This record gives sequence, C-alpha cells and structure tokens, in this order.
Amino acid sequence: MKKAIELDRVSKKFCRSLRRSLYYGVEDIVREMLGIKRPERLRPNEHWCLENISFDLFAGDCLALVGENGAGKSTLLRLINGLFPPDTGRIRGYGSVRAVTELGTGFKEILTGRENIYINGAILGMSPSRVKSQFDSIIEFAELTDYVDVPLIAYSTGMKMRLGFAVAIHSGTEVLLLDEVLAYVDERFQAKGCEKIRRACAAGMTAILVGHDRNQFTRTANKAAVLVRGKLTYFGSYLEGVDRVLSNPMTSAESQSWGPTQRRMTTPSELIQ
Amino acid sequence: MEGRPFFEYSAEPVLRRPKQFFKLMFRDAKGCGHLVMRLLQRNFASQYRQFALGLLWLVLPGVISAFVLLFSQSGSLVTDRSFAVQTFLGTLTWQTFVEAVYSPFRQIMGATSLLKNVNFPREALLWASFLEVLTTFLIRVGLMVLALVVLGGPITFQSTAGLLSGAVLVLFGLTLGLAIIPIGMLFRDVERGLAIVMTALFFLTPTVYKTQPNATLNSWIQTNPISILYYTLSDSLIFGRATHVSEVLWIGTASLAALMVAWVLCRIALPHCLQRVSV
Repeated sequence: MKKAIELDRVSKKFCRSLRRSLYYGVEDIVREMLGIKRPERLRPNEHWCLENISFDLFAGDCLALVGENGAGKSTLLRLINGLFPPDTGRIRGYGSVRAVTELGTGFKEILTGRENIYINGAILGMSPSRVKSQFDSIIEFAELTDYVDVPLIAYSTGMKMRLGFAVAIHSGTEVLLLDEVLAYVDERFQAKGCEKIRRACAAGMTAILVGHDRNQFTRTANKAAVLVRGKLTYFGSYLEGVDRVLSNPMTSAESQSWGPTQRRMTTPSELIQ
Repeated sequence: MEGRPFFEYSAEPVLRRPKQFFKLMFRDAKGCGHLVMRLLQRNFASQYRQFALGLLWLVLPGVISAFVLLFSQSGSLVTDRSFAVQTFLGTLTWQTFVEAVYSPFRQIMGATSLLKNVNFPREALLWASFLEVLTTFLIRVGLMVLALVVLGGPITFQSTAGLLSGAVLVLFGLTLGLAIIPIGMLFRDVERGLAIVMTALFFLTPTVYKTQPNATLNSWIQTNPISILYYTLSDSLIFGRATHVSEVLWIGTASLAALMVAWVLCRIALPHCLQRVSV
C-alpha cells in the first residue's frame, strides 16, 4: 500500500499570553534565520497544543479526526498542510495536499461564482486548463448553475461551502483536508459530498475530515483519530474504535490507553530529561 | 513501498538545508505565474467593482492631470508649464512610492485568513501587488505622456529612462514594504511608525516643492534615492533627456539584491507570524 502521510512524534505549542507570544515569535524568527533550532522545552506561558502525534495514512484512507472544541484538530490540519511549522517531530507527505476550511476558501464576495472558481482553482494549485476542463463539473456538482454569474454576496454560507468543496474535490489532489466544511450544507448535499469523497478515496485519494457529525464519518471514514487536549488517544479502525469513543465523551487526557495501532510515544518533556 | 517524500515539515531550521530551501523558493516563484495573473485580476476587479465609474478610476487621475496640462498651455490656469508638469510628476512619484511601500504589507494582512488556511505560493501575493502598483503607475504616466505629445513636448527615445525610473521606484518601494512584513505582522508599532517615517521622508524629497540651494539637509535631499528617481522621471519626460541613468541602475540593482534578502526573510518568518496573529 502506498503511504500518503506520515506523522512522527509531532508536537506544537502555543502561548497563552498574546504579548509574550509576539516576543517568542521574534525569537523564533531570529533563531530560524541563524539556523539555530527552536527550544523544545516550554517557555513561560506556553502549553502543548498538540503532543507527540504519530500516525500513518495510506492512499485511499479516509480519516475522521474527532475531538472536542479546542482539542487541536484544526491545528493538526494546518501542520499537515504546512501552514505552521511543528515544534518537534516530522511530517512527511507523498503527494499534493489541498485543504478546504470553513474560513479560508479565498473567495471574494464581490466577485461572481465563475470568477471565484477560477481564482480559487489557481490558489489550490490547479492549472488553467484543468480549471477550464472541470468548470462544468464543478458548477453541476455544487448545483449552482443558476448562480454562476451572481456575486457571492448573494450566496448563503452553505452555497459558498458547496462551491469551495466542489472546487477542491475536482482539483485532482492526492490528499484532501476538510475542516467542518460539510457541516454547513444541507443533509442531501452532505450525503452527495460524502459519496464523492468515498469514491475519490476508492480511487486512491486520502482524506482527513474534521467535524462532529457522526453520520458523515460513518458514510466515508475507514479510520478514526481521537484528540483529547492535544493528545492522540485513539488511532485505528473507525468502526472498531469510534463507537466507544463517541459514546463516552472523554474530557481528560488520562484515558490514553485506546487504540490498537497507537505507538508508545515519548512526551517532549521526557525527551528533554 | 513509497518513493521520496513529496514534502517534509519538521522543527529543523529551514536554512540548515539551504539547497532545498532555495530550490523550493524558486520553484514557487516560477510556478505561480498563473496565480499572480488571477490575483491581479481579482485585485483590480474587486477594487473597482463597487464604484459607479468602475475601472475608469484607474485612469481618471491621469486624465485630469493631462487635461490640466493641456489647459496650462493657454496660460489660463498655470503660467509655467514645466512647473505644472513637474508638480504632477512629483505627486505621481510620491503616490506611487507610498503605494509600493504599503502594498505588500496590506496584501499580506488582507489575506491573513487565506494564508492561515490554504497553502499556496505566498510569493504570488507579493508579485501581484508589485504588478498592481506598476500597472497603475504606467497608466497614469502614459496618459501624461500622451498629453505632452499633444502639446509638442520633447518626447524622445531618451524619455524611456522615465519608464525605467518608474519601474525602479516601484521596486525600491516594494523592497522596503517587504522588509517590514516580518516584524510588522507581529507588532503594529511598525505600521504606525511607518506613517511617521513616510511623512518625514516626504519633506526630505523635493517631489512637490523646489529646494533652496542652502537648505540644511540639502545633501541628503539631493542624494535620497526617491529624489534621484524623480529627477530622472521629470528630466526625461519634460526635457527629453536621460539623466542620472547610472544612479537609477545602481538603485535598481541594490533594490533587487535587497528584495531577494527581504524575500528570504519573509519566507522564513511568515509561518511563525501567521500562527501568532489573529485573522
């Protein structure tokens, strides 16, 4: 099986104080420029937002990334997407990664759906010819034929999400990251979106879905990862694990012994010791 | 089972592998041409669509300047034509410089949400802002040249030095703008401070006033790069003479070198800044 994404002891810290965080930012930038490694220990006011996350995903996998608000799901997606650098560990990818999030679709409200498709396609790395050839399929899939020349101001949140999702799924990416995108669309479109993801995964695409909707996961996911306060408490088969996890909402990081495939991981503090 | 990784992100400083860093940097710069054009189109369209006169605003200031110039010939509005041209060129030079300095910073700050959520060559935003400022400048100066041609002004081959000077001016401003991004994104003091510096610079640049021969700071006023670029621009368009060309080329080369450094700086700093600033 072809490996798609490999996370090896990935950690990320965040600072609780804004002003301190800005000073740490300057410190980190200077270190980076001088080629000096950033400190692995926590500085005052910092905490681990993600701690020692390790898992592998293979081509065709669809991972449901589950966790409470603030568990670190979106941060993990941003690390995989290369937007934030990890503080420890390593992320390797074996194909192109594209992401759709609830906020950052890159749309301009004042421009029409047509213009936004071309711009969004370019932002997601699609070639002009690919956008052109996929244009009709995108519009048809998003069910926005009547709105294609209407500015996005007239679109509802769900319609914008449909458009963003449609462009991304037609971009031909090898890894797709979706952050609560299908949470904003109606049930019928959600089912259609899930079916599209399932088919794309069957054809070799890897997907990571973040959300809280169990229906959506049941339709698509074959693997699940559960984050509790920045720690991976479960990684493995979706069907096997997620029933237990979702029926017992976990609020503490103590319940860590889940997961048949989870590796024994050293915490960054242990590493220092 | 799997080949070489397509990408690898780690905590290791990126400059420890300079070869890979620069390879990726140039790959992104080379591959983002299509995206730059799309962003440029987006910027112009979204900027002017909510105006009743639309893209006309792009040429309107130039058209008005040209009209006033034509008027000045009859002596009814301004008695000294070359003074009028100089004033217009001075205003244009200063305006372009200010736009060039602020443009990359505003582009990045305006796209924070996008940058925090989608991975794409960030250079595209910067090149789009460069082209946007340059296009606006060329349209404005082009209309002015047209008016001068109608007036029978001495537009010669040497006048092309004016265009070179304009491009260097945009490059110079953009480099300064790019250099402030890393710290400017973290601390808003930079943006405030920049406004003060720009005001001070305005008074040290004889774009809209004539200098007194014995003024204090005169040597600085005369050697300040913006003054030199402005002299070339006005000499080439008003008198059809290419002056200070070697200085312009020097400023251009130095700006280009500084731009490369600022670009590396930005590329390293942006991920660190983005995780610490709000959308």
